[in-house]
Amino acid sequence: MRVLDRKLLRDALRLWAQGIAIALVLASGVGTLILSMGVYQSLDETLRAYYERHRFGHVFASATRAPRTLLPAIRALDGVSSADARVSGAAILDLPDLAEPASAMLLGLPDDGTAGHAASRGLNRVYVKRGQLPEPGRGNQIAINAAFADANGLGPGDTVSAVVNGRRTQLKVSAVVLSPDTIYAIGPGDLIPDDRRFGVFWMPDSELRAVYDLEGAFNQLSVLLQHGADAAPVMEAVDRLLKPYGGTASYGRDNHPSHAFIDTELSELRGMMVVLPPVFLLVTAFLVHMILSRLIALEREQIGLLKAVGYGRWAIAAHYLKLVMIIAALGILLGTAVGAWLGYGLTALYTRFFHFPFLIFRLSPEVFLIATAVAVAATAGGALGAVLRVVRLKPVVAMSPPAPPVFRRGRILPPALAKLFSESTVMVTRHLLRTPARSLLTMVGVSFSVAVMITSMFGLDSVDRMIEVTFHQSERQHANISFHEPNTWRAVNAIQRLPGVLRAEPFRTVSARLHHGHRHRRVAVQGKPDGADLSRVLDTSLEPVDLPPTGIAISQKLAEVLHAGPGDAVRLETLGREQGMHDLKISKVIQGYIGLGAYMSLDALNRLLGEDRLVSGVNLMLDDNRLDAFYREVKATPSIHAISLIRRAMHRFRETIGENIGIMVTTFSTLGIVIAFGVCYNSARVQLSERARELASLRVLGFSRWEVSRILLKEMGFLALAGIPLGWLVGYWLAWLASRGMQSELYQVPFLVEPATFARATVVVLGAVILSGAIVWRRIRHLDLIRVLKTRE
Amino acid sequence: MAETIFEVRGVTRVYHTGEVAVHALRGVDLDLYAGEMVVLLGPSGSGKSTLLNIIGGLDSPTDGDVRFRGRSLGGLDDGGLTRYRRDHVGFVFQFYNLMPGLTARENVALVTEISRQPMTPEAALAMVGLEHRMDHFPAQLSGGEQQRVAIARAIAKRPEVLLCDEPTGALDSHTGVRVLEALTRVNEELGTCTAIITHNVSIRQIAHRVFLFADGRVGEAEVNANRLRPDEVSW
Ligand SMILES: Nc1ncnc2c1ncn2[C@@H]1O[C@H](COP(=O)(O)OP(=O)(O)OP(=O)(O)O)[C@@H](O)[C@H]1O
Ligand SMILES: [Mg+2]
Repeated sequence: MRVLDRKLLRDALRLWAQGIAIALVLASGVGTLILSMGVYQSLDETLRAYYERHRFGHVFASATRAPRTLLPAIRALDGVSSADARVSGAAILDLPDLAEPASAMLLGLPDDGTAGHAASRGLNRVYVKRGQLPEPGRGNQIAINAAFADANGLGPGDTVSAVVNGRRTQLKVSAVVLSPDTIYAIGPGDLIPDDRRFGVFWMPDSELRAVYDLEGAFNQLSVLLQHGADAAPVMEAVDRLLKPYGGTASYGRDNHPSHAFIDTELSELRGMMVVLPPVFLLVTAFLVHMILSRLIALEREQIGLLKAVGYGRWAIAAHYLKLVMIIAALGILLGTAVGAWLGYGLTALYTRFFHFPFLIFRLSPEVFLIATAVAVAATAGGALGAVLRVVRLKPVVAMSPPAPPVFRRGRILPPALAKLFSESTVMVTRHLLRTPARSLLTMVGVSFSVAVMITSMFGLDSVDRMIEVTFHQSERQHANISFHEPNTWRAVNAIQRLPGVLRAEPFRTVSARLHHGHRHRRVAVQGKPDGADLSRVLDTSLEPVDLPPTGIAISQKLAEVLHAGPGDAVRLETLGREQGMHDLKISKVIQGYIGLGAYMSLDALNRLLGEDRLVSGVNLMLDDNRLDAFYREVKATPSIHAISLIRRAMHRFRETIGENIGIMVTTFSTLGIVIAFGVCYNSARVQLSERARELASLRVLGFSRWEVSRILLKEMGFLALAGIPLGWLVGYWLAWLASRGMQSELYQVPFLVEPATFARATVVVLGAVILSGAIVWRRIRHLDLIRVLKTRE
Repeated sequence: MAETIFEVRGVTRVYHTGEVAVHALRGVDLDLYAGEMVVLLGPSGSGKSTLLNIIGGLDSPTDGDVRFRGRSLGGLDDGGLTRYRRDHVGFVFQFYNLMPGLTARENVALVTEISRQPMTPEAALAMVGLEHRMDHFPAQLSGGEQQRVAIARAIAKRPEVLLCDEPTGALDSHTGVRVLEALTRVNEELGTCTAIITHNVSIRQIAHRVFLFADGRVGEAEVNANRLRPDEVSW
């Protein structure tokens, strides 16, 4: 081995603790990059391939009853590659060992019997996991989605008891399948998939048509566009064609319930990709800069000697670069391993919610190469300044000891000011000011660790607030029941009489498009009775408000996207069964975190539609002690089209989040600790190295170990305590940025950071600071006085 | 007369520190011959180290020229100077300047690894009488031993020139003699042109020629009629 390499190895072994502290920071950067980029890529590629192979549509629309004869016209539209129509419906299920009613979405399968085959011309083609796809005329055969099958232990040959369009039937499972339009399948009123309680059932379309009395017709349309075709003109044409048949506005993939959720996940991964790794890489560069500068300052004479005896400047520069590359290699290896491991974990977690025929985490060579490249760049970038100093160092200058630092009392801390503080505080301040860049960067480093934790964990606070407001102040109903078709008050009274119902409030829902100028959005307008107490509308200061007798109230987000405010005139284009155009004024802008909300008083809505007190469903408050009786009745009442157990959905959501909180807090606290420890420990070690002589002299003069240690520890504590509040600010700001990035028309995540989150971040960082302090303190205790005083500096 | 290795002509060196200009060398002319041993004497600050550094290619003159075997050092860039130092020059410094992280053997190997026709580190250490201390780190060696390692390191590449800046400055007389013996031996056995800076006037007696420095200038060389062996020098 070359002698210089032997020196390298010895240096590396001597600096192992610092090297590892830095490698851990780098590993965090590499790990988060590999995790986010790798999972993103795996998910994105799988999604693309799945959509492609199974012909997931680009444009979707529904209608109340459209003739199948429209299909050729739709297929002939410019930019349309293929179009497929089917019937969809809903069923209430009675599962043997489940008290609550479950529900299912019913979807038609193409009648040609090719639904699952590669040759099928149908869209949203299913993937058959087990069994045989149902065929017409075999009698109530269905295919069920795999998640529901697994959650309920169902498979081909089993039967499910269901109420379909008011008729109780036994459905026979013939196949277990997946489909590209139900990757994320969420039941009515649910916040996350509840596979036990919600299933997707496929039946031959001809049978569904018979059930719903839709012979020769369809109520759901999917359109596949030609490559590169623009969706907007197709959507307009489809809307025009479907309008006479109760068409609701068509929508693209971005509003498709399954795709939109996956897309949200993808953008979260993208967000993680651009925020976390850069922070770690920046801190790595800073740490590398700090310890390499110190090492080179210490080895000035050795560098001069190497130059004097004929080593070229780049050979010496390479020597030091190799040292930091050892750190880089460690960081990359560790980061890749941890990133891949977390990637597998996260992907496995996804498969609980997203159902693909095949989804595995794949660490692709390009992701690995990118991570390696940025890690090497960050390390080398941090080393650059120090290495250039090596290159420029003149051998004669290097061989003579450096000039002592200029120390002018007045300039560093004015004596008048200094008098105000204790002697040791003055000393600490003076030393911190002597290397202002390092002090500042150390402080910033500590603040980053606080900020990383706040940014990563504030989401929990926001979700908590969203739930609190949505389910405890606004949507307080335990469940809601909806009818297949708008119904009269008689139906409300019938439900009021069900066992366990404490309170029932009707509501009316109309799908519509709200126009303001040239802007418009699809909305579901909700009509609420006066004095509604279960499902309340809140104003922007979260106070419940009554809906005015005229006009329409819209949520903040809707107001924002339509550029509309109170008093503005808007046009409401009602769709579906109740086609019409109505001019209205915006009466209020109200709070709402989920979706785009539009509300009217029930009477006003009925008047608008020219109807006489019709309702779409009922919100319910239930007696917890009589739930079983209530559920039994619901299962036995054929007129109930669908039921959402909103309370249960919320609890399940809370539980799932609760399960993940532990993992999240552990992961992000670890990342925070890694930065805080890496920064504080290295900074203290460099301080110790620079001031070992001074401290040793103090010891010789009779200062105790503790008194000597206190000087360094005080400096470290000072920087940490200054860095933490800065971290609160930076974290708050980053969290705000992140929350802006998370806003969509699907969710408006409220922005808030609870004091507990600040406190948690602070405690964790303080722990890391104290740990590095303890390690440095141990080193000071073992300071070899003689050796330190003997070395020339 | 032996071959001329160095021709130093009109070399000046001015340091600018702040507003004051320090004239370390004010026009120095001298020649060094192959195989000779010279001693440079003079008061502190008279420019001895400065000249040695310029001859060794560690520093460049402000004005004037140094020719090594007829080739001007002034024409060399950093890479050229590095190669010149690597191939032709051996340095011994007053403060040894060993690499603390390397053993005696490794400190020597540091140089032999990049030389064209080196001796083995073991042979070089044997020449300075350190064959028993080869695997010690500098911190485990005495000052004199460290200086001898430095000499071994300088001679191991069989340089044509050996430049020693106060090699005995920090040593007692007994150890100093051992170091000088090592230098003399190398000079005799390898024919290395050796220049030694010293404050110890008696050491002048071991040289072929002696140069006296004063205030940045050098007088005529004095030729020693009777050279003494190092152990005959009264310290
Ligand atoms: N890097 C430098 N910057 C400024 N002045 C310098 C520098 N190096 C040397 N000098 C000045 O140049 C003059 C000659 O210095 P040099 O080191 O050559 O003296 P010297 O004869 O070797 O002295 P000594 O016997 O004390 O080692 C001195 O006045 C010194 O102060
Ligand atoms: Mg000198």
